Amino acid sequence: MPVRLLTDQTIGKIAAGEVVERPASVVKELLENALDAGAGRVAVAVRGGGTELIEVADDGRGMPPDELPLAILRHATSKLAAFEDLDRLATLGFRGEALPSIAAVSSFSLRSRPPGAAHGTELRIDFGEAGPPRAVAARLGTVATARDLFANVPARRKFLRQLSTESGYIVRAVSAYAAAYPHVAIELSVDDRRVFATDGSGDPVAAAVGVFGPEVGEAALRLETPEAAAAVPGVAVDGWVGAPPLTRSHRQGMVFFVNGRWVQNRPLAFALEEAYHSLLMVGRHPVAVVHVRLDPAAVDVNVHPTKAEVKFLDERAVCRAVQRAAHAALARAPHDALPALRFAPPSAETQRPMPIPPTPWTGPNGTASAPEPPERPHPSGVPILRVLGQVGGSFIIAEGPEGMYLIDQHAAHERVLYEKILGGLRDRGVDRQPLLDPLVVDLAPDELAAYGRSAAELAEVGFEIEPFADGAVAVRAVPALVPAGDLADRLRLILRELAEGGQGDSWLDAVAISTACHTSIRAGQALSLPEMRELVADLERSSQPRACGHGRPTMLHMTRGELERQFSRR
Amino acid sequence: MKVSCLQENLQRALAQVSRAVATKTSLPVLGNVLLATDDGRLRVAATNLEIGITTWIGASIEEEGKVTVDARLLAEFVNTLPNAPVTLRVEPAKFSLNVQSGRDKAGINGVDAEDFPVIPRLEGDAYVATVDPQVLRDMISQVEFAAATDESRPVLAGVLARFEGQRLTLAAADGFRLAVREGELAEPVPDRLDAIVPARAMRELARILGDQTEPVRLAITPNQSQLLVRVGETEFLSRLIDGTFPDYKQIIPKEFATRLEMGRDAFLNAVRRASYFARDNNDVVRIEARAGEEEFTPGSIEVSANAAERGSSQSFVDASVSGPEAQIAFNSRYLVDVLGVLRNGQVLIGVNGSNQAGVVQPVGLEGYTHVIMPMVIGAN
Repeated sequence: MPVRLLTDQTIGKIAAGEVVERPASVVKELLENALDAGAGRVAVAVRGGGTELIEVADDGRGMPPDELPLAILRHATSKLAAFEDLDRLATLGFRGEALPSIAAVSSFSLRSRPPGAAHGTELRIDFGEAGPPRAVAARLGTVATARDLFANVPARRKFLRQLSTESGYIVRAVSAYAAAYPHVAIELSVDDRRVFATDGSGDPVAAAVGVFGPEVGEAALRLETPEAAAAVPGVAVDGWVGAPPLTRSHRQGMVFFVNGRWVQNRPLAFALEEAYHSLLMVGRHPVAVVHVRLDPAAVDVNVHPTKAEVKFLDERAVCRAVQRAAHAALARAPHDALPALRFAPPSAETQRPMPIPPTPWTGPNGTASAPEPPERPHPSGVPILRVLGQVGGSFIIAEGPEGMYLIDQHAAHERVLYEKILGGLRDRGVDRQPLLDPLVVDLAPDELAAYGRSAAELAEVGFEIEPFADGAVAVRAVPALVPAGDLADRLRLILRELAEGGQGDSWLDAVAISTACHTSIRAGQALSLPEMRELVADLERSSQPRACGHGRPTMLHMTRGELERQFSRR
Repeated sequence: MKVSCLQENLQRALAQVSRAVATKTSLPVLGNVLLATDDGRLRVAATNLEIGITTWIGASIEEEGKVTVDARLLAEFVNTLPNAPVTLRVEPAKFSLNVQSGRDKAGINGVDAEDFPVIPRLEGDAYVATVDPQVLRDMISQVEFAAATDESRPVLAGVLARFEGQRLTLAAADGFRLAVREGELAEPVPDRLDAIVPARAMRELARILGDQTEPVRLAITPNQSQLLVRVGETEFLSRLIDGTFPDYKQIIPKEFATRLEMGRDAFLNAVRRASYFARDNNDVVRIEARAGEEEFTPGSIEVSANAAERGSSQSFVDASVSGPEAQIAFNSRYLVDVLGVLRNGQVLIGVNGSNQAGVVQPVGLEGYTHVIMPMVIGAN
């Protein structure tokens, strides 16, 4: 093939791959443009996970007709005149890559009417082919619409995850901006259903409640600029952090903005979690929206095409500032005068039988203790194990004919519950335990969306849940095999996992896996010997005892030979 | 401080307060017991900030003073002393306690009593009600087990105590079951008052009530944050749970379509037998009631359970069945719990269909109602 220059369309498609990796990145770019245009109100609508339609409408400055065609030229921007200006950037976008990249891979239209203009102008670009601008009736501001995203890039389309997952990414991105820009009323609808709307009142807590749900309102602690002595020069931190009762099982509740730009930065998340040191249970993560403002020259935002990552000149100073501000806010959190002491669960503990001696040779008089079951492999391939104890409240140590086994109690219980749910589904339906009185659970918008998608499957695994007023659901019954505990928290965890796409052969399978995972014994939960024995016996009986529903291993095996080698006996 | 008292009194007092000693705490002084001279007697107290127990024993006091020392160590040492006078001594401005009985002595290093939390006392102006200790103990035991064991809805981890007129009502619910017991107060109270006491504290209170016979005085602090109970020479303190208890009355069915009455022992045994088979099947125990064939022949109920892998069981209990035949399934643990706190005699099970709340009541005894949500067996 002779060497030749690529066509503009091909260049556009290739470049688009860097900026526009998934529908959520399109939403993010368009939303940032709207915010840069000084909008007071932005409405985002998506359909089909963003592949069918993405529309971002703002009431910002708009663009005059002659600038519109320029806007979709590569490296055309209103935000940057020369490279030196990069150091002083105060706007979100700057490279002028976003619109042309989106226009290259979608049926794109831009309709805009600046103040003072008698009418608006619309420009359509079908997969990189620009049509002529034409006059249209339009409201003040700009409406950017992208349809059939990636229709001309089948490879990219193939790599998209389930549409619900893509919707989840979009909800996450818009949520972050809505929480971080309380002065702008931001509204999101997915598949014609309103997911959330903020009021634009300027109150960050009000915006957070609109986005994350009412439970945030009580827990949000405002970050304040600390006293001069504690401040880190050149770095200002504001926003809010959630008081410790408000936690998540994942890190996505922590949202960071650097000079107004949403960023992913592990050191910042780490620094924030450090501020919560000892306030959170293992496996729980804070919820927070943190703004870091510093001299634009002290931060490089041009390290990643989507600008999702940033480099700080002095990363440690920034982390220190975040940590101190969070520390100060948490110190102001109200504490109960009489802290509740945690007791072990009643009754089960007090009647613990004599532990069976851990070694098989109990001496001539040892036969009085309960006879051990014969050690033969079970059909599942797991030998019958003798439980010896628990390590770190998380792992069960057991002995079998082939040496020592370490069992992850959470993964093991998750496997057991998962198979019980599947068994119930297969046989005659899952048994349910109705509640005396329906339990009303407030859900965050994406949790509510996940419930909407999964209502039928949740009913099949044994939940009876009905929609309730304003972002809440009423739980009427739970699967009978769910042990007692914090039902609201468990339901939220299940929906959260489903909102992120779930995992499994089918949606029902995904719901079953999430249900098993979030209702099972957690790591860090002390178990009595009988409880551990029952769990191990259940695991032995399961058909695939080696991995939980998510594919994590349930047990590790150390052979007798390996033990002997480790102790230099061989 | 220099005090002498009888070993058996000191041993009993230390045992009494030991339940309020904190075991795992970041505040080491909460693992200690407070010993203080108090108006010619020795005051022994412990608190874990959730509950506090204070008791007084007779002692001859030569020198006033107070100290706190490790509760367990002191109790273990005192328990093994002979039944004879024990002398407790603290040198001025020192925090170590010398315990001496005959030729046995110990020096236990302690902490300044000023570091020990102040445990509120029963004051005259607080809300006061009086009740028979054995009635109260009975009431607590029939209710507290139904409280929730997790803290997700804090009020449900407590027992509601409602004082109204001459009546005290205790209620507890965990979302799946509800226990309500009413009892008489010795004198009417002027105003209605609700207090929610942590279920764990209620259990400790029942233990302290033991075989006491003198009337018990209950008081709520004016800011309604603590419950104070005076039992003989002992005072018990618990924090209260802030919040409003759900309106439980609307949950209790007023009428039943089918009423089953049978002996409690026979029914409990049948449920226990079934529960062993139900263990591998979500603890589901089925109850099927059949009326007698003629008007005066007794009916019966079948109590059964089955687990696909393990096996199945059926038991029959004679019962008087009025109303249409009924089938209902319960979690065996809930049934065993409630039947276990009823005395032998007849029990009534009220049923309004297999999806409606069932009620367990002792027959002929007013004032106790237990509501259980039945289980719904896989529908498809």
